[in-house]
Amino acid sequence: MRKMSIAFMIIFLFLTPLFAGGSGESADDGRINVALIVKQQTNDFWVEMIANAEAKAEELDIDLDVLVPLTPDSNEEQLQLIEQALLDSPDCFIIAPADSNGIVPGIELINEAGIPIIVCDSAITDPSVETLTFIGSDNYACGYELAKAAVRLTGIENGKVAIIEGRPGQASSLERSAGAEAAYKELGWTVVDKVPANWSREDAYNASQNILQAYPGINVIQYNSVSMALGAYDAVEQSGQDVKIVAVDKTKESLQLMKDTNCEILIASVDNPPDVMGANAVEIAVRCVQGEEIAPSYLATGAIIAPSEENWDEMLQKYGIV
Amino acid sequence: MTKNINLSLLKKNSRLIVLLLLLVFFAAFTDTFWGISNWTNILNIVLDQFPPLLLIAAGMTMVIIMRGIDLSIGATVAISASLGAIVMNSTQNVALGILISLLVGIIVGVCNGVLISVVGVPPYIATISMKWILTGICLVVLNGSSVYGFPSEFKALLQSTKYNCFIISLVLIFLLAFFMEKTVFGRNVYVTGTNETAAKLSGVNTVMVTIIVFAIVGVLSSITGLMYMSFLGGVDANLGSSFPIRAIAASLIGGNAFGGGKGRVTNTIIGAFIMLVLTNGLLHMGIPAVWQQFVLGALIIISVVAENFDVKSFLKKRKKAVRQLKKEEIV
Repeated sequence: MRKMSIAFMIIFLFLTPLFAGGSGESADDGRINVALIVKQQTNDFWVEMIANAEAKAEELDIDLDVLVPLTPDSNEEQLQLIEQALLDSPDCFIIAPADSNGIVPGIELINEAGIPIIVCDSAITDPSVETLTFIGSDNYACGYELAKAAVRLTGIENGKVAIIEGRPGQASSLERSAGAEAAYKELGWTVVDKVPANWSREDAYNASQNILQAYPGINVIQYNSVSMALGAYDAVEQSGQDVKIVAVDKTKESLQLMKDTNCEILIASVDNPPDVMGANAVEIAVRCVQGEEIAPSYLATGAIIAPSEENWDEMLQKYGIV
Repeated sequence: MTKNINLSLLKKNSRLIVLLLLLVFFAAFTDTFWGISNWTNILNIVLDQFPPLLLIAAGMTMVIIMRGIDLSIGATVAISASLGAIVMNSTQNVALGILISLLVGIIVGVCNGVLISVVGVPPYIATISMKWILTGICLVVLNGSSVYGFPSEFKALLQSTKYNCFIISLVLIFLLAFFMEKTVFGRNVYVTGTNETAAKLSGVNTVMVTIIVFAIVGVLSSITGLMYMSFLGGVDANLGSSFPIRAIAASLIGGNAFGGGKGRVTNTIIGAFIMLVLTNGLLHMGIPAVWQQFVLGALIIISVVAENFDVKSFLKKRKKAVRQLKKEEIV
């Protein structure tokens, strides 16, 4: 008897996906189906982005398929996810490419299928493929504004700065560095070095330690992501040098740290609002499917986050930091 | 005859010579790398960056000697650190957190060992699958977010002085070297790596040897994870993603070779050191960071080629001489 019931359960388990698949197809008639391909799910930024996209999808009553590469920032896996998603022929794609050039073959496939593509976070610049629009923070402006804030907050003239970048060759990182370099140059600062740390805490720790030794007298280290700044924080603190750090993005952890230390070392970050990006992308996807006109890009420059700014208290409150 | 001895000595210590040359070169050609009054940089390398790399690389070396490979070490570091961190934060009990972390490392290692030696899955496939599984669990447990804000006693434990991690790692390495070279267990690892079937036939419990080696690698990964927890102040699922490749690189540069039954755990010390000195030194030279990867890759190839050159020209052509040399050494 018991064996029988177990056997039935197993059979049922195997059949469930079939049923689910079947019912999914029948429901496909009216509902809008959007495929969202993100870069990864290992840091707060993407978790928040996905959560907000899902919330928006629920609000607008559409189907949203979130596809995440198992290896963070893996272009190969993103290409596979595209092929996989194409089998369901969604009404619209939202893609945050891990590699702006590497993703192009996948984009070509979607172009062939005639499905509109919304690119977010990192732009695709290849002219041979067609994308509908770009949503994201203006990465160049993020780096630029943050650099200006760093100069303003330190009050140093002709200072020296190093930039810790993300993965080499990734557009979002390159643009942030380019923006920063432009601002520092304008304000008379010298960028002594740029070192990639692959968006990873431990790589940023080592890179910062090495930078601090190679360039004594450096004033600021600018990080292209806040998780790298958090990983490197101790290295900077323990060096005993008077070095400030600034970072693109913010997380609850970074805000808490800024509050607890009174912004002694991490003096500012620039918001790169993931919530806005996720929700906007879904909303624009729906508008596109419904045939409304879409602008070629929706760029947002995040606000500077520092105690001197107006939004400081509001930001702390939003993340429940007391 | 003396010429041969000199040659073999030179070959034996070639990595050490390379390391010394690199140190002297960077110290001479940069102001900041190393000087009589400037020890901070070299101390950073030795005390902070060296211990974690050494531990994972030593673990990898043991597996390589056993003719295996472990691609799950990075994920093991992440999962053991994450679970340890969660327990530590929720109970505020540092010892319990560390215990959980070590336990997770052992469990992962034993699973790897059982998969490979009992079930018969090839090491490459077993450990890369394990990597996916662990990263998956890590993502689910952490929900993509990070764990931070560990009890202050934890940091104090590993960083009360700058030397703690360094001493821990060196003690572990010498313990491992002792086990590998002076005990029956160590000999069994080498024998298993040289020829598993022959080892089995001669009565070596290769299943047990494999499981124990992978369990040791698991523990080493946990300890690496704990060190990183104290350095980085937070853990995310992305931790350690580059470790397997870095560990293999350090092991190969140290003069170990794929193929099994060869190599020494202590080689890894110099291999890890060369890697760190090179990355750091190139930065001090002002060479763009993208070239570091190129140089490290080239170094691995040179290292492996040098090792092969050793075997062919030295062992084949002068077989007799070497045999005699060995006899003399034994006597």
